[in-house]
Amino acid sequence: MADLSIKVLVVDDFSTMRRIVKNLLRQIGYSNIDEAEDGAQAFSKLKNGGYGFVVSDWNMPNMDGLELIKAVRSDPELKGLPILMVTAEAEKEKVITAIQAGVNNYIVKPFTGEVLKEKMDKIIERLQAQQ
Amino acid sequence: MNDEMEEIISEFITEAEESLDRIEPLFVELEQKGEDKELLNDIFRSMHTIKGAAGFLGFQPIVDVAHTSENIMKKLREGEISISKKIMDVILKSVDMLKLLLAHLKNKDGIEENVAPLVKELESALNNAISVSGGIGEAAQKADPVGTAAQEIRSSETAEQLTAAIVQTSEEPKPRPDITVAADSAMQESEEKVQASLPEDQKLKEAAQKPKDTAHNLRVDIERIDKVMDLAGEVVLVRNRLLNISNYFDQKYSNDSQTETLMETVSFLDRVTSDLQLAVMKIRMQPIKKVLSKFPRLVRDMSASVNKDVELIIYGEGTEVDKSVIEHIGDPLTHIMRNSLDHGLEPTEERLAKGKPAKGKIIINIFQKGNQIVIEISDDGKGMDVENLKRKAVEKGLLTEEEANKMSDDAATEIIFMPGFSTKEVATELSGRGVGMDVVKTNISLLNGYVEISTEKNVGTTFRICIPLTLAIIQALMVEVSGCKYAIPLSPIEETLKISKKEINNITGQNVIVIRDKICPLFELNSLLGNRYNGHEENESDHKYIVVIALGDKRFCIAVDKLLGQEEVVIKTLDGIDTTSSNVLGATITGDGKVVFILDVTGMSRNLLGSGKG
Repeated sequence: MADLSIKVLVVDDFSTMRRIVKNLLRQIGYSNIDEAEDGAQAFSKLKNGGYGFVVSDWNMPNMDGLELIKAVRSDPELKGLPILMVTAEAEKEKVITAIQAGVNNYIVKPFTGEVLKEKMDKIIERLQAQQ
Repeated sequence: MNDEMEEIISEFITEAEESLDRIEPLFVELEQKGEDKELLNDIFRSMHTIKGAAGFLGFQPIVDVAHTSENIMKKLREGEISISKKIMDVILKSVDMLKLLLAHLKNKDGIEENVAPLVKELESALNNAISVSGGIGEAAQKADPVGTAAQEIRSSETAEQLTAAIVQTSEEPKPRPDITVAADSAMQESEEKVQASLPEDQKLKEAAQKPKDTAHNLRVDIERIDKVMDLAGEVVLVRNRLLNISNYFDQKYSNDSQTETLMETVSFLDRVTSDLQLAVMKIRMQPIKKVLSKFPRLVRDMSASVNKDVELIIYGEGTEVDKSVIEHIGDPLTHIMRNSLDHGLEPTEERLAKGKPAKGKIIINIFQKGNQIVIEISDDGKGMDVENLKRKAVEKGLLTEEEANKMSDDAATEIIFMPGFSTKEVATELSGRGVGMDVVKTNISLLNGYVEISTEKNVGTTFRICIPLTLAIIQALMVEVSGCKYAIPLSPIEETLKISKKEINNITGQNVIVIRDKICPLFELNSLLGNRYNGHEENESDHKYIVVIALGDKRFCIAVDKLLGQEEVVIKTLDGIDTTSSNVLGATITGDGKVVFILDVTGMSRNLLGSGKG
């Protein structure tokens, strides 16, 4: 079962989008939510510890979602952190780049709370099974 | 949930408008620089983000337009097509459309725009560009500008309906996130392409080094800030009163140790209040860049329509100004730029004949000077033809022959601010819009500022706009006349003089004095305010105090009974009083608790000297 008390980091450069995603997260039961404006800010927040899940946009200034995933995966402390990538680009080539970089799953904009829950649950189940 | 939704929508509108304002000048930069990856990325990202959020909120026309232009940006970024004027025109059109759509949302007017023709235009521009670039067959197929997901949810109109539709569409992309899929060699190829175009490591390093300046922002309702501003103003007034009272105690009970403590406390309060005032003022300040961002585009479009080659250079766009300046300065600047483009800069052939570079220049320079913000708009055009201006003004009946002859060259340049004046026989598409340069004067004086013009034949013209830093709290000179106190804003005061009554001369019914060989009109404050009783104090002394006001090149003197000193005053607007004709800007409460009128010297100058007849 998904632990709803984990701290979720929402990463997006557009504050409206962060708010929408935060709302959806609250809808599906998560209440411990923090946000970051871009990959660089997200990474420094993650380094401080305490996060259990990352929902990140792809296209952002300074450090985009893909760079964030790479940075997280190559960091010894953070490499196991589950990351869900929010993307509007359903093109296969880009998704595969993200998967290769180590993203756990992706979700296509726009999405509903249910779809978000399903994606997050799947990631968490899979990680729990691995342990 | 409904309130929440409303809030999100309004936040979306603001944010999307800001994004569009930010990227608009980038398009022009892109056109000049050619394919610049950073710029393309930046623009692409904004379009992309707007599309994403609009999708969540169910604003389908926005999604459609943003999506098609995003597609073009993507092809540009990937180098599949190259930048052309046609492509830029159509993308800029889509930016305009997005703005219009956002405006409809904001006004809740329910007006629907048909975006289909624009989307078609974008698509065909893209397809044309692709066939030109040679990557015809496959690329053209891939360029289905409106994605399948978008098409399926097109019919849904409300956010609720939309969410229902999303459940299916979002499940559509089937590839399971699994590493094995990536073995596909074709995919790897395309991935390498992406890799090559983005040197990730390098970008990552840059990102890590870049200081974060936008890390913690808070969006606050402007009314809340104004409330704080208002309260800070009240604190200033109370501080002024306390300063007065404590001075009284200091004089009367200077030996009491409590008086010393009181003085210390009040002086601390004094400092803190000044800091508070500055801090609150800063909340309302925004970089003027916000207004300037539309100008590169404006110059691009306008210079094309008048067939002139123009370069726009902006200095000091980071200068911070009060929010009200941001709101009111746009129109005056636009008109001045239009005027420079239309009348100031010569056509290319004429420039070449004069030995000037073919490309004309418009320079906007913004800086802070003391308590003022100065905005200069200069062109390197032909300069103003003063005689021509005068002749036209006489022809149009704005001036009499006599007035025109008497008018100095400096004063004559201001003719262009006269309502109903335009120097060209045929109003061009740009300048002839019913409203003219007089809007410049009106808007600037709303901000308590003024405009100056300096011009030189064949060298160019500079418009200099000066605006006080803040509008709510000002330094003022307190004066007294017939036992009443008045405040005069300090910034336009050039000097104060004590003169003997013998120095006052009368020329054709107008009192004047000579200040360092220059004749300056003199007005009694009492008569300016319409006070009738100037009998008893006339003979009391041989001397008069004179406040010399200088606004641009106009000067006049106000005669008062006493000069009381400088004080910081908070302007409170007066409801129900016509401030345009009363020569009063507002009122304030002074340190001794009295209500005092603040004089409107800009208005006085307008009423007394008229415009353009200085």
